[in-house]
Amino acid sequence: MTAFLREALPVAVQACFVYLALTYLLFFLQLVVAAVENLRRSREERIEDYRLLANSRFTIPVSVIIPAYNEAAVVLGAVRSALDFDYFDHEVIVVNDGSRDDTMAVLIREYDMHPYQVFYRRTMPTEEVRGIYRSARAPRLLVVDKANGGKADALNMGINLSRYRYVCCLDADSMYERDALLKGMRLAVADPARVVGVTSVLAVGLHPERQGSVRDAARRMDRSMLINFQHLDYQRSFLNNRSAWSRLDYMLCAIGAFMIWRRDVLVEMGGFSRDFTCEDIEMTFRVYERLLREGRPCRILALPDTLATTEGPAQISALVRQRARWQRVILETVWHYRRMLLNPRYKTVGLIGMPFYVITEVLAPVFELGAVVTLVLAVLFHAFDFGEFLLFLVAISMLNAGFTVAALFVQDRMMRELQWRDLLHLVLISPLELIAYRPWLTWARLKGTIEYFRGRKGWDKFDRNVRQAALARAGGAGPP
Amino acid sequence: MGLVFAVAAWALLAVWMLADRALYELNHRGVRVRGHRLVPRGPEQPPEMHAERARGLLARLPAAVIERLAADAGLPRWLTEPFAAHTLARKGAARFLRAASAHRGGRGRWRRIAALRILCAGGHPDAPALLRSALLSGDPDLVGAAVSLLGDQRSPAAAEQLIQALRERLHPPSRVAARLDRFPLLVPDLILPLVRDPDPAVRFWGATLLARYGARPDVAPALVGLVTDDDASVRKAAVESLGAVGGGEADTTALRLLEDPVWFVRAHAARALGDLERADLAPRVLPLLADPQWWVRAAVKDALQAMGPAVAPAVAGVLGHPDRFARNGAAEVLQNLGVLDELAGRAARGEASAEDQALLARAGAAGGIAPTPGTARRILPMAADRVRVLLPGPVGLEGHGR
Repeated sequence: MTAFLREALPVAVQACFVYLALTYLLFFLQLVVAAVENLRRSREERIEDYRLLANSRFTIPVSVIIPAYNEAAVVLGAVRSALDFDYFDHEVIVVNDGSRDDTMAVLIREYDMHPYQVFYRRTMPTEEVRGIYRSARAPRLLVVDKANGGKADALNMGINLSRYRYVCCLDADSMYERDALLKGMRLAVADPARVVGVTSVLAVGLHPERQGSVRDAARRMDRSMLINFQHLDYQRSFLNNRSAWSRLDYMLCAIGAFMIWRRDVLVEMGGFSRDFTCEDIEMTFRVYERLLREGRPCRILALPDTLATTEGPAQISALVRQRARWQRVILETVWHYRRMLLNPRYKTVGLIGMPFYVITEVLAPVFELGAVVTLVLAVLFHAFDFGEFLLFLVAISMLNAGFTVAALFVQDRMMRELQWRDLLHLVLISPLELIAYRPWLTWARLKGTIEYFRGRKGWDKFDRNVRQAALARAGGAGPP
Repeated sequence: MGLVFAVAAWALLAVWMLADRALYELNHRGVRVRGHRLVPRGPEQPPEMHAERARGLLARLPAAVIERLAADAGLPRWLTEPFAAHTLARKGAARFLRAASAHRGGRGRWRRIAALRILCAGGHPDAPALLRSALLSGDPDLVGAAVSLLGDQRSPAAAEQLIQALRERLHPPSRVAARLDRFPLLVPDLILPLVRDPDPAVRFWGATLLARYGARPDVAPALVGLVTDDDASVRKAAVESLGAVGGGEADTTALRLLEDPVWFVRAHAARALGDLERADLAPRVLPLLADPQWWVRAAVKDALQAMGPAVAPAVAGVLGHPDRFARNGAAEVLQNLGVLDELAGRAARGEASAEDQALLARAGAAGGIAPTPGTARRILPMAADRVRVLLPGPVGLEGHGR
């Protein structure tokens, strides 16, 4: 046995190394493509006349849908920022998905909501509607109070009530820039026959309401290493990867916190599915699967602009739960749509996007676990030079940090919104990410993989500890 | 070796980024361009303050930054015009004329667009010819920039070029039309011929754009002439514009199109009547509350609400309609017009006539609307019980649209 392990160890090390080299090669190639895409979008930005778009009667109206479940502490920020969108015509539909907290009460109080009967078209079946409320103060706002059915069900309810050709799905825990809708819709209306969806970049914070509408002031990073690491993680993922996916037409994850969809496409798909842990990534896969299979035009684009700030988990346990959920839904979705893998009918989605997902997401926990086991065995069998290992670890940390700084660079060039000290802080902590943050993600991925095989489907929403406390201190008046 | 490479890559990128940021800060002297501090939010400032602000920035910012800002589409004209004039005076127009006349490669395209913007903002006499050449270039970004710049020109020739772009589909027609719709000059003589174009898409945009020129006596007849167009989109655009324009024949035309075989024409005809705010025409619109198409029914409800509370008696008559969609729609309109609240309020105060009480009860029972919890909570929580007595109980919606 010992002899076998001694022989197997170098093979395991080589396998891990090959996997690592392959993933970093893929990331590097994507970084190059993303750089081209980000540069193009940045140049487009300079020639686009947003004032005309914001004021023209030919700008297509949008129905904004905000599902909310137990979001009393945070929902007002999201609703306020959505109502404040700089846009010619939009409605905001908040769907209270059977919250057990004061979400409804907070909305009713803040916006002077009154119950109305609305004879809506039930395009998609949803849980029972308890009431529909209109605001005396904000004519654009409609609030639906319904029995709990999950986020997908709440979104479907919003689609049923929506009146316009495009819907923009937002999260109740995020704050949005005033020009978010305008920037997203610019891409949608430029080629409405082909562009069916648009998504964007998010920033992460503990208090998104302090960071929203950053156009008037520099963005302030929260002083929490966990949040800062999440922010870096998001920036790298969006600006290095998703911009490339967008460019190469396999944008396989339109994020739930900001996704614009053509309403007819959502209706044709039968709405968001309740059979999966999360609804956003599954819808993206489903749209590609259907439209590409039928040979119909289909593009889902990602903007490199940071259009929203979302609340990140403030504790490691909450982060692990969140990321385990993400891992579950990735596995559920990739398995469900496995027919697309390496299938030329699905173009770049099948030939590049799906293999990328399999290599970097599905197989990641296997290789990460393999690397840890190999390390432990190597220590046990003294087949291990600790000095070399440390050097290797530092090299990988720095390589990872290089990718992170590349994303920060893109973000800074596009937005110029971070203060000097925050920029410097993020650069300096970037090499620590692999050691201080990544292990938790590895654990979360493993956990999510195990949960997937056990058939778990729960949402595992994290508590709004920080903002809840702020709300309590403010006497329940809502976010500042 | 790998470690050295990784550390060097990280350090190089970090230093590059920080140096780039430092250079940016130095050049912009504390002015955050994309951050809108250049153009403070809030009420519009008087022109003299604009001029003063522009002068201050010209004195403060380096020439390269001023040049870049002069070509920035996100900035207002009161900044780009003096910046462009300053740039042209300082660097000479020849360089920009060269860059704006042709391009090679991706970067060249963006330089060409920047040069065009500067020449236009600086009011250079060759700018119109260069815009024309850009418009016909076939490059989507360049054509888009040319359309955008033409839309800001105060000359009929620019409008003619935009109309050419619309006819020949040199750029997405909605974007060109948006420019024409907000063109600085009124150009009805250029728009009117569009409604006689053989291409239905051009006629559609012509009819849509005429909504801005309702004061011209020949506009309404031109729109009326389109209601028999073979293309449904053109009929829809015509009736939509007639709703905005008004005039003698707008109502009769819209009424005629309520019977159009195409659903979206009927929907827009109803909306047009709503825009005309003719409550006396409500009885003609009401039958469409039972239209087979959901969107028509929704448009009719909007139209009736736009006509105002005067439609209430006519709408109340539909509460007994055999079609459940019509009943529900009528009750919803009465609710949204505040009629139910008013009746319930009277009932709560003990001032409701027998007729009021009967209508309230019909709205609750036959209309399929559930004013019991809603209306009572809206008017006077104290009187909720009293109002509830008048109603047959919460009935909810009878069904859902298809």
